[in-house]
Amino acid sequence: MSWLAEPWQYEFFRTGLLAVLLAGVLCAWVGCYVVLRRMAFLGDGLSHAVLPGLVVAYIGGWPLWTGALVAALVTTAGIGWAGRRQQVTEDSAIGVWYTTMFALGLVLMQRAGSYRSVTHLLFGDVLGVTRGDVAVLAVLTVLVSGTLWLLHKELELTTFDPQHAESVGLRPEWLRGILLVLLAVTIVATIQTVGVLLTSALLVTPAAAAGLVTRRLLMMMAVATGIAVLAGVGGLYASYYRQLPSGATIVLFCALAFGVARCEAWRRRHCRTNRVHP
Amino acid sequence: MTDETTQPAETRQTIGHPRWPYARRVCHAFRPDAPALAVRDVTVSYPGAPRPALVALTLTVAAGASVALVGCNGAGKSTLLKAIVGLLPLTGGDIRVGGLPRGGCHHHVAYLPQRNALDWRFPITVRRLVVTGRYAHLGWLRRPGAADWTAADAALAELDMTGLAQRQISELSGGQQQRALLARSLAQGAELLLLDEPLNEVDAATRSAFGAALARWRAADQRRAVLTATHHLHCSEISFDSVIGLAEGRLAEPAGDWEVVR
Repeated sequence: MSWLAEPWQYEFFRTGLLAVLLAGVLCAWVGCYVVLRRMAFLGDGLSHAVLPGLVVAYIGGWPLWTGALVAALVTTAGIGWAGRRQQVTEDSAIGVWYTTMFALGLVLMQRAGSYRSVTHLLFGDVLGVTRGDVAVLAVLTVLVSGTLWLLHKELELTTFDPQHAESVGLRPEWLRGILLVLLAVTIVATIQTVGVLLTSALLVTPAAAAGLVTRRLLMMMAVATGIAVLAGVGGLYASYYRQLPSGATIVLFCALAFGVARCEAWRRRHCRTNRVHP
Repeated sequence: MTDETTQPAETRQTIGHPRWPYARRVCHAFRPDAPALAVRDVTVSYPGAPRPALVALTLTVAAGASVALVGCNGAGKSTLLKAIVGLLPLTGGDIRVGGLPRGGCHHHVAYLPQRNALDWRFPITVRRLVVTGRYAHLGWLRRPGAADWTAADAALAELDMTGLAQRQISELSGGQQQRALLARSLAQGAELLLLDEPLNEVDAATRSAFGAALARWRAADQRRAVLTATHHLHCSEISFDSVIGLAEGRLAEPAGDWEVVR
């Protein structure tokens, strides 16, 4: 078992592991609402749309998360505004916004002088995470998970029955707005771990896998958290020992968990069918 | 619109409202002399629609009455119910529920939507669905307590669904879904029920259980009223005191002999 302990001697591994655990918890919780509200495309779009903010922050020498947060909130507001006015459908608004923002980010990357110096923004570099990054991630995790806990019953109700929610005085569109902000914050917090291109995978895949094998929202959140954490730890070890890109390896572990969950869901359905029709 | 300063003193006191209610209004009891529902000159338009869905509609539902709302598809039945409960803005006119402006107190009106309004694949149990009827009493930051779960369990028992309480809602049949929605409305403790085609595509046993539970609910308090949008006057297990017909958003003579349903 010495192979388990060996990487712990390195500061970068311990810090990276902590970042992966926090990002896993954060993505799993928010991801459950993203999956249940069918907002996966929005999550994907938002993760791409933060690129120009990241590049501007990189060029300006500011903390990356500040630029990403501004870009994410601008995109969230733009998509929300377009969707509310119903001049275009929401998926069209997402498609237009995120491709435009991503293209702007690529142009800014070119202006930054070298693609190579900023490619870690695209693919993430969890082993390059600093203690300061982890501190920011921890604060954002506490903020987002605390908000989800406080608003759990309202978010749950507006997700599955917005009409009843409105009839008891709630404003479903406000709760959706709050969820969009939490989603933006989550994406910003996770980008350092798996990068712009793969963030939506960490957000969607564990929650989708958990949804296949659970029947309660809180259980779905717990299983999604377990999957995200295990995939993060497994991906980090595989990355360390096989010199693989850490973000991509974590996402592949998530995909493996989804495959296992899919097989388990199929087995359960098969067993149930056999019980009904022996 | 009447505000709290125009309420009679005896109805101005608050009634067990949550500490942080969802809608920032003071909660009042129904005015004792007011009808359960008064709709006056109400016009409702959908954005982009060529004509209003409801046109200067006026009707009254007396306290304790059970009224059927009949009409063809597109007549405006569902629109009227949604306007009463506050889901749609009024283009003109006024709606009073128990003498209070709509939305004056969300405890008082329970709305049972058509089944397809809910995401039935959502991962929650039947019991949890029913307890959402108590949320108007809880407001922000409060979780359902023992009294709320007791009310939910009693409503499930009323609909003979105790055995299904821990089922996931996706496992319910259409009739069971409809009974679960009525249980939620009963758990809310409302004084006016708005039912949107509750007996569509459900079997005779469900219709019977539904009608019996509704009759017991009304019998428990003579002021409780029901407004039911329906296509099935003659095979309905719900008893009605009167029938209101709608056609193209206006009042119309109800077709057929509705006396048989009394």
